[in-house]
Amino acid sequence: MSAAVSLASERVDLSDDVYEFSREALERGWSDGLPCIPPTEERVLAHIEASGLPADRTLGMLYPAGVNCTIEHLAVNAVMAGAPANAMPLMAACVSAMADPSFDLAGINATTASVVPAFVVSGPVRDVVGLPYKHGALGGAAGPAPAIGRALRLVVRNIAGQVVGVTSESVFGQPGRVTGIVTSEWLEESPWPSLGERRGVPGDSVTVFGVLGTANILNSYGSGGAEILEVVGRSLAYMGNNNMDHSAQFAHQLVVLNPVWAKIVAREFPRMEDVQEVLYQHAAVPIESFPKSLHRPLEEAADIRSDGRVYLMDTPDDVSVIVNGGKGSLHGTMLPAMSNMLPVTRSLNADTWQPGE
Amino acid sequence: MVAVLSPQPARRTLSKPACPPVGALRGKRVGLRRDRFWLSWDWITEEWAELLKADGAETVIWRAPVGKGDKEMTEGGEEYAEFLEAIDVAISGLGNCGSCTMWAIHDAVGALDSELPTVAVTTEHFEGLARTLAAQRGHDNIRIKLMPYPLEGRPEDEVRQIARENYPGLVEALGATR
Repeated sequence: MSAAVSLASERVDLSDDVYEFSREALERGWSDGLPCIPPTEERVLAHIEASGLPADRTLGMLYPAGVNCTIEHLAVNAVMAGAPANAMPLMAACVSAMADPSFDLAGINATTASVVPAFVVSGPVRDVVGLPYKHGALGGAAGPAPAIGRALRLVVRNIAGQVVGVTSESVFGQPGRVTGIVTSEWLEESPWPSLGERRGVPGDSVTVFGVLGTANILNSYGSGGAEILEVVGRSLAYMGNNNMDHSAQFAHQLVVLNPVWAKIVAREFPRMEDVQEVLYQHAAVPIESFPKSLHRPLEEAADIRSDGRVYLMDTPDDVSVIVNGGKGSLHGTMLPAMSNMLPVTRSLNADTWQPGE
Repeated sequence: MVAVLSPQPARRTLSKPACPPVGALRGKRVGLRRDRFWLSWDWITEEWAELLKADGAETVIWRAPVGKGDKEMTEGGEEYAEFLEAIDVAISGLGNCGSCTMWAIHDAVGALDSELPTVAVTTEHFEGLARTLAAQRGHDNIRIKLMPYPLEGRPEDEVRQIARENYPGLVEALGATR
C-alpha cells in the first residue's frame, strides 16, 4: 500500500531530534507543548495503512475552520501525539462522531465553557488497543489512552482550528483539553448491555460526549441501590450545571458507576431504563432554592415543572450510565454535560457509516 | 534534518465582497435574529425594533431554535432560510459568549451569502472571535455593531437605555439613512 499512496500534506524540513522538533512544532502552532514525534512520511504511511482506509477518506467537516478531516490529517496528528497505529480505526470513528452536526463541535470549540469531547469505547477493541477500564479508568492508568486522546486533541487544534484565545473563548479550559478523555466499559462486570448496544450500535463502537470535566461522587453510607442513585441524581443537579441555566435547552449527562455499586443498583433496578428514570427524578431542584433573580428567566424558559422543581434533564433518556473503575467502590463519577449538544455513537466499522459521516 | 508532514492543512484564503449598505430604512423589512441565550438581547432587539419602525422600516424578529437531533436541526435550517427570504436586511446577534458568537456569526454569514445587507452584533469582548470566525468563512470585512461588555448583571431599564443610545451606531453600521 505504502508505495502507491500519494500524500497531500505540505512537507517541511525540520530537525529529527525530538527536543528540537518539539520546540519547532510549538513555535509553528502545531503542538500543545508536550514532546512530539516528527511525523515523517514513513511513520504517517504506517498509520494510514493501519486504519484500513484510504489516505483521502474524509471523516467529516470540523469547525470552526470548516476543514474536511481526512485519514491522512488524522494520521499525521496521531504520529505527532505518539498514538499507536492500531488505534487508527478507533480514532477515525472518534473523529467521525465529533463531526456529526448533532455534537455541535463548532459550539464546543468556541464556547466560554470548559467542555471537551470525552470518548467511551465499547466492545472487544478495548483489549486490542489496551484501553483502561479498571483502576484509574478515567485517567492515570499507564497505556495508550492519553496518547490517543492527545491525538484527537491535536486534530481539534490543527484541523478544526481551535486555538485558545483566538477561536476558543474557554475561560478556564481543563486538563482533559490536553490529553483528552478516553475510557472504556468494564462490560464483564456490568449488569447492563454495553453503551453502544443500548444506543443501537452493537460490537465495537465509540460514543462521544461533550463534558465539562469529571467530578467525584462519594457515598460511603450507601445502604442500597435506590440510595446510591439518589445521591448520584442529586449530585448531578447542582445549581451551576450548564443545563440548570435558563438559556440551555438540553444536555446529556454521563455517569460512571463502579462495578460494586453497579451490582448493588442492579439488584433493585435490573433495567437500565429504570436506573435512568430514578436519576432523572432525583436530578431536580425546587425553584425556591434558586436566587430570586433567576426565577423569571427560568419561568419564561418553561424550565419550572408543575411540581415546582427545575429538572436537570428533559427526559430520563438524557443520562447515560456506564460501568468501569476499580472495585474499591465508594465513588461514582459524573461528567456534567455542555448544553445544546447530543452524544454521538459510531461503529468502528466505517462501512456502516451513513453518507456524510 | 528530516522531511515531516504538516499537521495543519493549507488554509483557504477566501475573501468575499463586502455587503452593500442598506440605504434608506423606510420601507425595508429588517430581520432581527435572536437566540435563547440572552435576556439583554431580547430587550435590545425590542427597543431597536421600535426605533426601526419609527424610521419607517418593517421588522421581523426570529428566534433561532436549538436543534435536538438531526430532524430538528434540519427544520431549524429551513426556518432560517424562510426568515432570510422574508427580509431585506439582517441583524444577527448576540455575540456575548463563545458558542453564541459562533452561531450569531454563522447566521450572519448565512445572510451575507444570501447577499443581504447584514450587521452582526457582539459585545466588545467577543469582537475578535466574531471577526476571526467571519473571516474563516470569507467575510473578513463583516459589519459589526459593538455593544458594551458586560451587558449581563445590569437592570432591564439600563440595558434598554443602552439599546436606545446605541441605535444611531446600529444605523451607521448598517450603512442606512433615516
